[in-house]
Amino acid sequence: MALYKYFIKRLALTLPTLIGVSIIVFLLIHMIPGDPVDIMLGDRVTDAARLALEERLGLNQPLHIQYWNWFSNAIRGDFGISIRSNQPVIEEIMSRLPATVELTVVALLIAVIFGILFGVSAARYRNTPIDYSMIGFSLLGVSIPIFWLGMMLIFFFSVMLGWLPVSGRLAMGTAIPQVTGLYLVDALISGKIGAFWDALKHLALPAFSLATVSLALIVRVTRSSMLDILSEDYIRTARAKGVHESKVIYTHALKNAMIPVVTVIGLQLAKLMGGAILTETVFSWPGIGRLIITAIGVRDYPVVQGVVFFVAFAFIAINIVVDLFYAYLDPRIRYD
Amino acid sequence: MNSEFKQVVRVYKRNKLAVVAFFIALILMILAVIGPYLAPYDPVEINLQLRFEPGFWEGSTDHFLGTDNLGRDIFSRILYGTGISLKVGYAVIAITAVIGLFIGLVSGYFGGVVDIVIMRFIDILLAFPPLLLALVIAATLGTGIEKAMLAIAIIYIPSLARIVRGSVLTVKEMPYVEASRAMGAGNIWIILGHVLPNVLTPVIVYLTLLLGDAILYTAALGFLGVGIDPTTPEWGAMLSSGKDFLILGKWWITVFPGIMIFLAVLSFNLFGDGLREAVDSKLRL
Amino acid sequence: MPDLSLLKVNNLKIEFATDRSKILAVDGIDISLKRGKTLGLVGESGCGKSVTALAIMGLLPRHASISGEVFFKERDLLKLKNKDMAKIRGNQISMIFQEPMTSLNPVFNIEYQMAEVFKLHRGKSGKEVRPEIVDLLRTVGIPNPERRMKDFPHQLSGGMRQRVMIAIAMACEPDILIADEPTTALDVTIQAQILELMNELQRVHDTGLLMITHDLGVIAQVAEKVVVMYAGHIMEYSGVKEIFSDPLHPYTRGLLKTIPRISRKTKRLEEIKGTVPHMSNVPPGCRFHDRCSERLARCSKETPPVSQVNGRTVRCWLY
Repeated sequence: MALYKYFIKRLALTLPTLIGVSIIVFLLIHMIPGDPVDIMLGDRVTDAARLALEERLGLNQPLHIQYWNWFSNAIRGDFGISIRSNQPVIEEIMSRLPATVELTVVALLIAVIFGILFGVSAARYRNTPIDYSMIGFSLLGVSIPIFWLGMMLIFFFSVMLGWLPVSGRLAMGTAIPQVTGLYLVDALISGKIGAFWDALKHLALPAFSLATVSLALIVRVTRSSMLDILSEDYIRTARAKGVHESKVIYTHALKNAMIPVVTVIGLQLAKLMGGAILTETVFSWPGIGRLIITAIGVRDYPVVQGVVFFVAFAFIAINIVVDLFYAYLDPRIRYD
Repeated sequence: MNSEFKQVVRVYKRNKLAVVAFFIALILMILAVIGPYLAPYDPVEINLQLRFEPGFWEGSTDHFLGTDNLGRDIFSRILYGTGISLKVGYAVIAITAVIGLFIGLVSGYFGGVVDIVIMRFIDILLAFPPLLLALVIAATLGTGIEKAMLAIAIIYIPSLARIVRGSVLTVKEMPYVEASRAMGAGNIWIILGHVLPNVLTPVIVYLTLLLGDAILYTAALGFLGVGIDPTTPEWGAMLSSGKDFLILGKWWITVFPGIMIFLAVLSFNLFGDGLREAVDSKLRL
Repeated sequence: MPDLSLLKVNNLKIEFATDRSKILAVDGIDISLKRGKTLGLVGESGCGKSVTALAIMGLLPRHASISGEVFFKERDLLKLKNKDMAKIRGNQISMIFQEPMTSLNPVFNIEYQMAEVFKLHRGKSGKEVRPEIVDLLRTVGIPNPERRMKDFPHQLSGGMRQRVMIAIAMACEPDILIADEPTTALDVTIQAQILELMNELQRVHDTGLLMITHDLGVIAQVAEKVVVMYAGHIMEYSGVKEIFSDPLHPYTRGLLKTIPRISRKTKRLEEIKGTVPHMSNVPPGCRFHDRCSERLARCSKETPPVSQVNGRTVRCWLY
């Protein structure tokens, strides 16, 4: 009940931000030097053809009308037609989306699960070799350039050892029936264990590189948050009640310690989305990140515009989910 | 002031890792200035006869760290790259500081509609994943180091403005501000004389922590080839050009620039962390 | 004569090792507690009272080293494995703490935090124990227990939270309840109610109560015997009547003077001059000598032995 009201309030606050985001995306692309019509038609073009295209794209109309047309289409998922491929932008996005989602979600899972596990262990065994190695790992991990890490992993595991593939999502000749577009899920649904294993091998290095920075940060925050919480009075109470130490740590302490950790995870989502662009470039991963970099390279403005708006929109939506989770964790937020 | 500074230094010195980081950062800063004079070769001149020459590990003395796919000397390029990365880093700090302070001061001090509009705008900027924002801005502005600086600074300006605004809201309620106003001081005088000096500490800490991050984003833009010319001896751009040759076993094209990025980011991060800890301890005393 | 004590602490020493030094927080104390009786443990903050209690509960941090014996029902608690000790905690020996505001976990509701004790020590499921929780909350004076047990700690007042803490502590009808300054953080009127509640529960369940406080006023209300601690030593150990009518140790007399009384016509509250020494730096001789108003020459040189005066125990060169 209270959570539901909170959700509605949070949603209402988001609308102006969303409109602002769309205005910025729209204006930015219009500020790009170079006329899109020139790019689309090439140098030699008749004035008639030029006018016709301008009219088709609505470029002859006043800016605010252009914006409104774009925005009203965009919220319905219509981002126009790609200059490069002549496909609707939304189709381009949708065909690449599962690759990015799979990569990002797996990376996030790695970062969250291991980050919390490592952070908790470091706090629990404070000032022991376990703790020191975790501190060292998190110090190095937050500063490592993930695109370089990715390349070094490729060199080590693919080139030198030959254990894992260099790039792509699947080996040549491996087929997975498309259901969700998430290869791991699809392979499991269709019961193709070999394909699942292949997809997993392709995913391992990109997901690990992408996870590293977030993993390191989550370790750091979990550790310090747990150390704070473990000295709280209610932890002593739990022990005085006869609760076993591991339950004290993983239930009584962790749920409290998670509050700052969730904030960090929420902030990491933005970094993961940015990091996905880099990781996809390193591993030739056919996702949204590759799409926008290619689009920027060839000045495919409808695609750039569409992807940026789409990602910002997704980011805002994810933030709402994070806030809800936050409210679930900390009852004080719900009721106050 | 002087004794406060000494106190910060004293606490900072206790953190041995931060001290090491400080010296590495210092060396990098010096290299950034003298690097071009030390470089044995031209960093951009292409020499196709000398492609993929290995370095010291195979006894080469001509090209200490080897040459890349276009025969350019990697050691020289790394030295030039230090200057580029740090220059971008400093510039990002300067741009962020000036614009972030200005926006934060105006927003916090004057409040009202100005504040609401600015804060909404900041919310909107923060709704973008940072790298994506920098990418789009860099793409919009076109290629060039100066443009990349601006694109990266836009990532940090909203956060700094928020921090400044928050501090201003506290400071402007302080009795000394009231007193100054009662004595007839104007807004500009109060902002520059009373508010600004009192919000500077968190700003400086934020800016120090930003340097490592900014270097990382510069390398990322260089790697993606957006906003930074791929032929410049920028560390990220070097990684990009060496990427396809890893499979051929030409590891040195990517290993050395990567180590430099890592080292620079790590040392500036540790320096920033140490400084923040030291300043925090001063505030607590 | 067999020892009827429920809890018997012999020569308990607790030492904390830090990087630079070792701190002897408790230096050889002996106390005993009988079923249904109340032992008061008094002294200023930093005297080692809470540390003693935590040692009995086995809740001291790992860097504390403990020696001596803590006998509970013929078992030395200090020799028990962590797992076995956990079975005693909250079940046969319970503890409530000074800070009701922070002693309950903010992210779990009252029902969960109470049910946990039943699940741990009675092996019951969450649904089974609901009526027991309601009963227990009603016993400790929480109105509307069916609804209140769904509340989170931040929705309750300090007094209410301490009632919940008492309910949790008494849930398994423990043999011993250790109360560490249970009323210090509360309003005076609430204090009296909480003390009364504890007395009542103790009488019903025949619980041995170890009441730790710096407030002799509280001791006067609840205790039969009193231990006066100072800087890790027991300074005086006697019946509550004797403590008030004929305090032996100068420190006890000092503490008594600090009790505010309406009948006494002093202009301001008295205090003992100086502070409790830090335990890494205990003065030689009698630990109280530098604050003592009846100091003798030898007090600063030799530590006074424990002596018996009319069946009472005191550690002072005056006797």
